[in-house]
Amino acid sequence: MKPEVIFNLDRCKGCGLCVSVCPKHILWLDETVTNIKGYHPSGISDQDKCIACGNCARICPDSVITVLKHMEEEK
Amino acid sequence: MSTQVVYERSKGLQDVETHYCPGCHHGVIHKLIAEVLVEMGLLDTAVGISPVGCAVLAGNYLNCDFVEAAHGRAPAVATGIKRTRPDLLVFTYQGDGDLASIGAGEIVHAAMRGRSSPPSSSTTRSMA
Amino acid sequence: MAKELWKGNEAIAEAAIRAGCRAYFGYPITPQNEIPEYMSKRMPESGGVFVQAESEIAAINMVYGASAAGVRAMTSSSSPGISLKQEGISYLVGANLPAVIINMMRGGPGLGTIQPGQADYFQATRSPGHGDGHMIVLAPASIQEAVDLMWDAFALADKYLTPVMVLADGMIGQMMEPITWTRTEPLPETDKPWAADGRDGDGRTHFVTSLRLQSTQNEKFVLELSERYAKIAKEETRYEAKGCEGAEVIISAFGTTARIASSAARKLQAEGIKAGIFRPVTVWPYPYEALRKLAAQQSVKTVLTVEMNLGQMHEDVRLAVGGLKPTPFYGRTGGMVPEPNDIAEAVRKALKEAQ
Repeated sequence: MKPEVIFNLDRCKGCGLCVSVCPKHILWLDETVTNIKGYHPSGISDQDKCIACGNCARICPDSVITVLKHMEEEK
Repeated sequence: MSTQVVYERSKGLQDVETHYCPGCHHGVIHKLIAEVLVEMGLLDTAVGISPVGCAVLAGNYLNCDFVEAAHGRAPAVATGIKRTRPDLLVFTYQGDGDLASIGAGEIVHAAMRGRSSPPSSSTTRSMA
Repeated sequence: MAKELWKGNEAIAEAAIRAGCRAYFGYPITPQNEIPEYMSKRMPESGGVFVQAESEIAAINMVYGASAAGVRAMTSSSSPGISLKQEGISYLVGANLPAVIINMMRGGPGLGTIQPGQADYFQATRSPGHGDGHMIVLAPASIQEAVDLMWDAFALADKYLTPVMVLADGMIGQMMEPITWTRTEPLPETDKPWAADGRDGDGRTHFVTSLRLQSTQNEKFVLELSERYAKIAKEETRYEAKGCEGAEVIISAFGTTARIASSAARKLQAEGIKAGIFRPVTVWPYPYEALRKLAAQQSVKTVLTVEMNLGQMHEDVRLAVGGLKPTPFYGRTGGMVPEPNDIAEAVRKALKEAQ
């Protein structure tokens, strides 16, 4: 299973709620980056550790996160 | 390879930015309502009543019909809609002051009228 | 005397307390929120009463109660909230009760916007509440004037047993200006033998009411009100006329708009156009006589009204001028604030049309 997490960076307001609920602690607000509105958007620091739980997407008040699971087909 | 969507933006939300502050729970509650309306297939027949407060603009964010009410009067406005159009799913979205302060009379009377009164939801600040 | 930098809303609240206000009942609404917020701290500190009411309707009724018990009380709100208070204001008039009500006007109608406006002029001067009746309406144009008028507001309310409105706008409420506290002493308590604060020593009761079921009695009361209003018009009308003597155009404006018009007048002065500013301080009673006299001067070609509405004080200007001279109008509304250049342009246009 390969998780994919997509951020709509320009809609993120840098609130940090997603960071607080990630069970793998792999989300962070990169303070060296600012989006079009001047916020520090959220991002994944270590994609390999992601388990596609969807907590981040569920809590985001602005629905900027999409979480997908790419499944290998059973042979 | 098949792809499963774990979570994506609800169709019950309009594809726009909100004016709410970063982290504001209005965003969370809006999307919970949006998800329920989608799940129950009610987007076409839902009418929300927006309050006076930040959520006055809820009609720009939720993907269903909305009517703005004067401060505290949402249950009365909702009653007007529901009584005349019982086929619609009518709900109010109010803050604590809107519902329980200036609107204390309206909500009590809507409750008193009972079954044909629409449901009201209140967003209460987490800390007084 | 030292100058202090104050925000309009807070200065007005502080002035009310220093003038002797003992009770504040209010409800939040932009752009006057700093008034209840400031009062919530300062009123109890100064030994007075503060209540955040459940609505504007509740607040005005609390003012009515306190006033009926002989206590100096006030409330504040903005346009939509003032609409809610109208029944209560009518009750204050009908029951002969003093009270001070602040309206920090915003753009309307309906929920409108939070930017400044002046579109509640009709409401304040024609019909503060249902029925025959008026309240004195003071229109400050600066924070200093608003502060000074607070003493007058309470004094007039007590003297004439009437509600008094301080009609300001969001600009005055929100901006900060240096002011001087020229008055420091609270107004003396006035005798209120009619107050519902317990029976008299001889067992006589007081009944504060606006109910006069016999229409003969009711008419008598309203006629007496009208005599009282004639007295107020004669003795309490106030205005400020700057540069109106020998002017070719008189700009009539009130509140914030008058200040902006003053800037326009200075620009026009440089072009050789003599524009005077006629600014009513009491918009009720309106200084009809004074304006008529100034408009009648031979030098005056036109009287231009400028306001932040569709033309409300304009009607009083037309009444005052009585057809002697043209009375054009320039306004912005819905929360828009006019700029000096636009007013100057309106003056040039008015002068051209008056040829």
